[in-house]
This record gives sequence, C-alpha cells and structure tokens, in this order.
Amino acid sequence: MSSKRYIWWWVLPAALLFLIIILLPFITALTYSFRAFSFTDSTATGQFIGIENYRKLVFDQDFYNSFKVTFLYMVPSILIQGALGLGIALLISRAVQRARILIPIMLLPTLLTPVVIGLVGVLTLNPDFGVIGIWLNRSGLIKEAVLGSYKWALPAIIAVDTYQWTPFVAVILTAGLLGLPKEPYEAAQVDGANPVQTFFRVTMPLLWPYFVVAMLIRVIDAFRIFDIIWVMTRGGPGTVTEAVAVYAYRHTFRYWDMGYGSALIMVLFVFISIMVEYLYKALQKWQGAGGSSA
Amino acid sequence: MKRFKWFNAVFIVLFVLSLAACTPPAQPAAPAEPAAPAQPAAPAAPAAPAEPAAPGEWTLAKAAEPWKGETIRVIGEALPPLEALQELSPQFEEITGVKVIIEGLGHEEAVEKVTLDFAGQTGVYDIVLQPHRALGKLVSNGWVRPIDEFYNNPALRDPKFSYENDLLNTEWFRETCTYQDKVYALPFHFISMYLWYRYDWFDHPDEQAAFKAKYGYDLPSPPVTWKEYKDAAEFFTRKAGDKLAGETLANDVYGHAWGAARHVSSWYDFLNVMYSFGGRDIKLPNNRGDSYGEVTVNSPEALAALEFIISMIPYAPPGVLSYTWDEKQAAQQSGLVAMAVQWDDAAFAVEDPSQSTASGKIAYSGVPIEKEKMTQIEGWSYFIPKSSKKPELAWLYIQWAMGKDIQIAQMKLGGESALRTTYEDPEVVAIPYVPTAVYLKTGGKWVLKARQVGDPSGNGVPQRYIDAVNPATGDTSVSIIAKPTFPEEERLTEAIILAVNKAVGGDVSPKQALDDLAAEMKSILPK
Repeated sequence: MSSKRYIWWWVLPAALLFLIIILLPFITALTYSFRAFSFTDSTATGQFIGIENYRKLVFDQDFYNSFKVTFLYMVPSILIQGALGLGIALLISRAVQRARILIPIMLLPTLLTPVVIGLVGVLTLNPDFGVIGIWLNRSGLIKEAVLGSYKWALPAIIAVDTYQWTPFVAVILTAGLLGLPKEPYEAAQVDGANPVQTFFRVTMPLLWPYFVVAMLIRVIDAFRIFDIIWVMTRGGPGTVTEAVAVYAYRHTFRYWDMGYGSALIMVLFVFISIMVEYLYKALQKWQGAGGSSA
Repeated sequence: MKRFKWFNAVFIVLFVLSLAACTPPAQPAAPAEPAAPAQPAAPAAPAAPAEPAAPGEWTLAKAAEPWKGETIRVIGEALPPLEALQELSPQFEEITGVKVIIEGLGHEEAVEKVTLDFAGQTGVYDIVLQPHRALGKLVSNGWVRPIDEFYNNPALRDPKFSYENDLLNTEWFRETCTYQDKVYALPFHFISMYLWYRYDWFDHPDEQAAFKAKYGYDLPSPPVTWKEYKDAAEFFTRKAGDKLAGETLANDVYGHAWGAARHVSSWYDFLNVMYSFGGRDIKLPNNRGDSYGEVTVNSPEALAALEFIISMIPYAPPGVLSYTWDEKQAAQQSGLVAMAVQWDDAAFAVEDPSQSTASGKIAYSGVPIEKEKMTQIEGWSYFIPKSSKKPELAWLYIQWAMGKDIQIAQMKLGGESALRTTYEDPEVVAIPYVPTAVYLKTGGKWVLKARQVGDPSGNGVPQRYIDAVNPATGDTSVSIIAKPTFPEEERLTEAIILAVNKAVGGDVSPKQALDDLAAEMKSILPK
C-alpha cells in the first residue's frame, strides 16, 4: 500500500514537467486558436471568434503549399535515411568490437543542434565562399546559388537533414543488429540459406521493430522540421522550402498573428497524431503479414 | 523503509532546486562578445575624470545613487554601434556603480525576442533597441514609455542634456523616435544605405581608358544614375586571369552585390531602387510613417525598379540569390565585387583591415538616381519598456549614452551618431564613410568634405554626387524618404520580401508579383 503511495512521488516530477512544458502551452495555444489575437492588428485584441481561424485556414492556399513542401521533403528524407542507415548499420555490425568506437563518432552530426548543422549547410553550399558550393559551381554541376534556387534548395535541405539524421537511424539499427539472437541464423545456415535469403528472411523480420521505431521518430521529427530550413532558406526562394512548421512560425512570430498561428499549430498536431497512429498500425500490420517475404 | 523515505526527501529537494535552476535566469544569456574592432585611430575614450560637483549640482553619480549595485539589461542588434556601446559602458558602471549587461542578437532575432519579452511582460530588459518600423507595434500595444516623463523630471535630467537642437535631422528623429507626435525613444543611431564602391578600381587610369573605349563616356567614379551603375557593374564583371586595375585576377570578380534571399535585407534593397525610381510601396501623407496611405506598390515606377533589379543579377556573384546583407558585406570585404549599396552601420567592419581586404579601398556615395536623389530613413532607437522595474535608471543610462563625449567615442568605435555636435570632431570627420553619411542624413545640406576623383583616400562625399541634380526637386538636395511605422508594417515587410523574392527568383513575373503584393497589402491594412 505504502509503495503505491510512493509511486505518485516518483511520477510527480515528470507530471509537473509535462504540465509546465507541454500541457499548459498546448492549452494556451488551443485557446488562442479560437481568438483574434495579433500584435500587429489593433482590431485583434483577443476577442473570441469561434472557428474563424480554422475556416480561414481551409481556404489558405499557402497552407496547402506548406503541406506539399513538407511531404516533398519528408518522403525522400525518410527513405534515404532509412536505406543509408540500414546500410551503415549492417557494415558496422559486422565488426562488433570496432563498432563501439565508431558509434559515438558517427553520432556527432546528430548530437549537434539543427541550427549548427543548418549553418554548416549555408557556409559550405555558398557558391562564392563555401567549399561545396564553389566545387559545384566550378565543376559546372550547379552554376547557381544552391539555396537560392527553386530547383536545388529543397534537395539541399534534404541532403543536410540526411547528413544529420542518418547516423541516428544507423545507431538504432546497429543496436538492433547487435542484439539479435544467434539461433535463427544457425537454423538458416543448417537449412542452407544463402546470405541474401538470410538477410530478408531472418535479419529483416527480427530487425523490423527497431526499424519501425527509427522511422516513426524520424517521421514525427521530419514533419515538424523548422530549424534547418529557417537557418538555410527561411522558406525561400519564394515558398519552395516553406514547410508547415515554418509557415506556422512565420504567422506567429513574424506576422505576430497568434490566433491564426495557433490554429496552424493545432492542425499540425492533429495531423501528426493521426499520421503516426496510422503509420504505426500499417507497419505493424505489414510486419504481421510477413512484411519481408522475399 | 526509513532509508527509502530519506532518499525520497533528498530527491524532492534536489528536484525543486533543479527546477529553480531551470527557471528563466535573472540575467539574460551572456552578452555577445564584441567583435574586436581594430579600427585605426579609434581608441576607447578613457572615463572622464569626475569633476567635483558644486553642492546641489546635478550629477549622474548622485542621480543614480538609489540604484547603486543594481543591474540594467540592454538588448539590440549585434553590429559595431552596439559593440561600441558595450565597450564604453564600463565608464557608466564606474560612475554609477550600476552593472550594465548588453545583449546583441541578429536584426530579426532582436525584434522577435523583444516582442516576445513584451508580450510575456517578463521585465527582463530595461532598455530595448528596436528598428523604427516597430514603433507602431510597440506603442499601440502599450509596451513602451514616453520619454517626456523622464526628460521633464529635474531629478533625472542632466541640466546640460538637451538633444532637440542638436539633432542631425528633425524629420529623421520624428520618424525613428516619435509616434503620433509623442516622443517614445531617443536615437541610438540614424542609419541609411549608400553606395560603397572600390575607388582604387574606379579611379585607375587603365580602367578609365578601357571604360571610355567601350561605353563612349568617362568611367563614372562613382556612378550617380542607375544606368551608370549598370554599365559599371557590367564593366567590372571579370573572369579569373583578366586584368583589373593593373593586376591579374586570381578569381572571378563581379560588378556588384545584392541581397536577393528571402530576408529583410531584400526589402531594404528593393526600397532603395523603388524610391529612387520615384515609386512608393505606400503613399505616406506628409512623408509620415505613422499615417496610412494609398498602396502604390504596383505602380509603373515600382515595376520598373523591380525589373531593373532583376536585370542586374548577371553582374552579381553566383550566390546572389541566397545573399542577405551578411554575404553582401562579405563579398565587399573579400574584394569579390566592385559595388554594393550597403548600410553605414556595417561600414566600420569593411574598413577594419583585420576583417577586410578592401579596407582603405572603398569610397562612399549616395544611392544612384533615376527619378529621385534620395535616402531612406532608418534607425534603431532606445526604448524604455513599461515592464522594466528600473525605468529611471534606464533613462539615466540613455541620457549618459547620448552625451557628447560618449557619442564621439562611440562614433570612433563604429557608432552612427544622430547628433550634429558629434560630427564637429575632426577625428570623426576623418572616418572614411562619415561625410557621405552626414550628407545624406542632412538631405544634402551638410558637406563635411567633398571627394574628387583621384583623391588618395575614400573619405568624402564624391563631388559627382554632390553636383547631381535631384529630378524630384530640381536642385541638388537629397529627398528623405520615410517608411511606414504603423503596427501593420511588419506584416507588410514580410509580404514585400516574399513578392520581391519570387520575382527575382523567376517564380512569377515582376508585374504579377507586384499586383499580387498590392492586393495582399490592401488586405492587411485597416479598411
């Protein structure tokens, strides 16, 4: 009985932090989303306006564009990071002892803040001052400003994001690979399976839960991408890299329209929740159906 | 069990302590390190020896006595003027016993942080430096105090302090420090943009001969019209291996640099060209930023300006579409370009030999002319927030910083004083960019020094620019153009940045961009 009472003491710090850092701002933003509240509009003084912000959002073409940009960034990013992460994990797991040394080194880009990674991108991709930018320009591969180009700005952000997050995926998968049981491999060997068959029929099904976790974390993270884009392009050129979080930030902290900005955040929250739920179930279902039946 | 209880108690205490440690610190983040300004002949003035005050005489030390041991916090844009203030602040600390913490951030970050601080009424800052376009927002939300409540208080006002008759330009002051005829700030600086050009290239006899042979007229040193600017930009765009001013180039060189990224710098750049082409984003009544006017951003003049900007892209470095003012400045500092229209609060860095290969090789002229010889009003000002718990002390600091000696010392370290007396100091006048800055900010009325082609230094207003006629007035004066300061201005700024960026990037035609922009601006402004 008394140990049950202690459980509440242990939960209290986390509950308080959750309340202060997540729940209160969330409720505040939810309240704002039903109000006309702007620091740059003297008529919007916080009055209740019902679902007007959400109605406005339905007809906002730039909002839809920001969703499109988010998916154009997210889908290739996740696929590339998943594939590269898996490849790196397989390479590292072959050399178990050395892997322990490699993991912290490999994680360095992930440990840096996205702002720093974004700045690295800005500095290296500039065709006048940056190492990569100058090389791309002189080699004739990309003659224009990568981050000022309608064609190359988004791929550049995907590349920088991949540089930062592939190690994260690789580390999760490496951990998974190093922890796999040996028995299924011995059985596969006895059955005469070749390496490809072993990979698809033994390794992948066993690794799948790790893969699902890594991908889910990346999808959530990718959907709310802000820092790297803001530092590298601020959503430009035009709106070609203006993802949803950037668009919401612009309305909230550049236009100072707290009401509409909050409505955007709420929609983003609901969308991520639904998407993660759906994705998780879909991946589980795929695994249950023997997803890797090669 | 007992031990378990003891452990729990310790844990809770530790948790509460760690929460306390996580609350917003009493002090803001450590102030930005000053960027070691190595300006020649610009030593920080030593603290003036305290003169014995007559009994009953007002002194800063006596006025600040109630706050001895306290701290005041200032936030502004991390550029040479703020770094100069930071370097001088120990003098104030010495006199008053008050600690001064100055926080420098990027332009947009400083605006954002202050707005968030005010919205949260945290009271972290005692003095905020903000660009004047934020005036309407700051006043209409009731976030800042009028200055008169301090200026008219004999206990707080230094009887020797009087700024009204010492301002470089009263119209500039009205736009940067007042709103609806009420004074809400004092000027941290008046700044404007002007043409930086490599006079060692423009004045070189080989280049002059080559230009004349190619274009049929004398190389304009400096260009005073946009046509001359374009010709000069084309002329100086060279490949590595070509000759320039008698030397073989190791890398490509370009005619000019421009801020074309989706960034506030592209807004300022666009305004320069649009204003000089005779266009306006909003036709402000009586050139007053606190008054609403008709949206004219899609006028033929504005369209011609935007088309001109796009036509200049080929003469800029390859990275121009991702340039902000930072890259533009870096292009000048590294000798990559012949010209750029830049801010005078950045000129200090380009004249610093430790930061710039172009130091001592740049001269300064006004923005080229099409239909108007003009300069745009800009400035950051000292505001005292209503949320400050020490507004009187904040005032004392501002008053001290506005004092003549401090203004001169700050100017020598990279400041941009708004006071006329600062420019009576011969050392200040000798700073290369100062005569042009003063000439523009006084509407062409005050020529501290003229520069002739071939002068061995870049110091002085180019004679060509002094003599250039302003088509809008018919004389040689410089028109001073105000920008909106009403609360909606920040949204208009963002809209203009996006429209210009889309047009420059080729996403939409210039006409389409400006027509869409005009519609959006009308939707933002009060009906």
